[in-house]
Amino acid sequence: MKRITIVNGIQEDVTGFEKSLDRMMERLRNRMVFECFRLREMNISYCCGCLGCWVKSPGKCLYKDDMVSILKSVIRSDLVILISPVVMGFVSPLIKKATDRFIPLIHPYITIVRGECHHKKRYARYPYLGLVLVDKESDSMNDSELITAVYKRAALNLRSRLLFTVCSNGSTEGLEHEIDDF
Amino acid sequence: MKLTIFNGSPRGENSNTSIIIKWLEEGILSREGCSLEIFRLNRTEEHDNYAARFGASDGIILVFPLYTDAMPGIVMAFIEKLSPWIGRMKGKRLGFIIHSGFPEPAHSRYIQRYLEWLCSKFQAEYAGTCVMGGSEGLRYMNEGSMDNKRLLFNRLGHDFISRGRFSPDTLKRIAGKEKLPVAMRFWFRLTGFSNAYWDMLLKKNHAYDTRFARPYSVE
Repeated sequence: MKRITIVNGIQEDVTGFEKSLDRMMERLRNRMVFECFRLREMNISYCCGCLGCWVKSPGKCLYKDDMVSILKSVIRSDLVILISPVVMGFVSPLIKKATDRFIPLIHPYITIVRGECHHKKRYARYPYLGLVLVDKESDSMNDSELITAVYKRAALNLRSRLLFTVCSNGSTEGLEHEIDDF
Repeated sequence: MKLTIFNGSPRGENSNTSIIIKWLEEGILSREGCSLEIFRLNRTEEHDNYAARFGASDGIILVFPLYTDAMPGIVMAFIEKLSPWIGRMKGKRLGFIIHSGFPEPAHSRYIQRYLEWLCSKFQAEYAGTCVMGGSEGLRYMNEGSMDNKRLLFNRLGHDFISRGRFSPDTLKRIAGKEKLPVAMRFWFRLTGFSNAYWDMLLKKNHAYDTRFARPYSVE
């Protein structure tokens, strides 16, 4: 069975997306294993840029907070779905805070990927990434292109690939369609 | 002119960002009639206060290190607090400086597009985005070897104050080559010479032997 980690960066569920998400996971639970993390209820510090996870305790963040459980889930999963509202045309600070803390998963050493410098892998394999942008106003979805461009790059630096960006005004229909044939 | 510089480094005072800001400051203070304030965004408890300062400034420069291809989390938290200023920054000038450990500026160009868009939402005058690669370890380098970069950032600060925007020539000289030249890629692949910096730090911390550890995998 495919393992899917859901990193939920919704700050306030104004669209009812989380209820739909629960129903979607229920429908798919014969085929996929979900682990779900609701960032707003977790104790996670901002990355302080100490690089201890690269040069002091390789692979391990010096902070012993709730991020450790997310990282363990991420590295054993096949797909990580980041869920975020659109905040000032970008992802929520909660999602940004969590994805900053992904760096213990890669190695400080540099290698050349597609003609550019990128970090070497620390683990043998990495999950794919998917992005869900939740917003009740559909016009802010014009911002999704800028966000997608950045997260494609973030995926590349995690030695992975962004499989999809789905825009949602509260329904999980688009997301279910994407992961159905994953 | 009331100028405000925001230091977006989670490392705060002891950061490569601080060094860049010091160089900018030298270029700015060479001109009279300008007041300058600098705020550190790692003091997240002050963000409401800083957001008010943002709106009350005539010129703003936001400086941050690239974190996973974008701004650090603390900077995004600050940007969220700026929503009252959307459409209300007419005539004010806004510039950005992004630096990254990667040698090529190409990595920072994606978030640059977002910053341009954000500036237009504020209806502020866009002063430009300066991108510098190879910044990790800046704070360990001796001052003499950095003279060239320092002068360029002096000039960038002066550009902002005198013309209200970064000059394309200064931006280009700071950014350098957009992508690694083919010969350099080959050299990198062959020698991995940039890893010497990491090896030095790993050895200093007695962590060299465990550098390939995979502590988060469930075997």
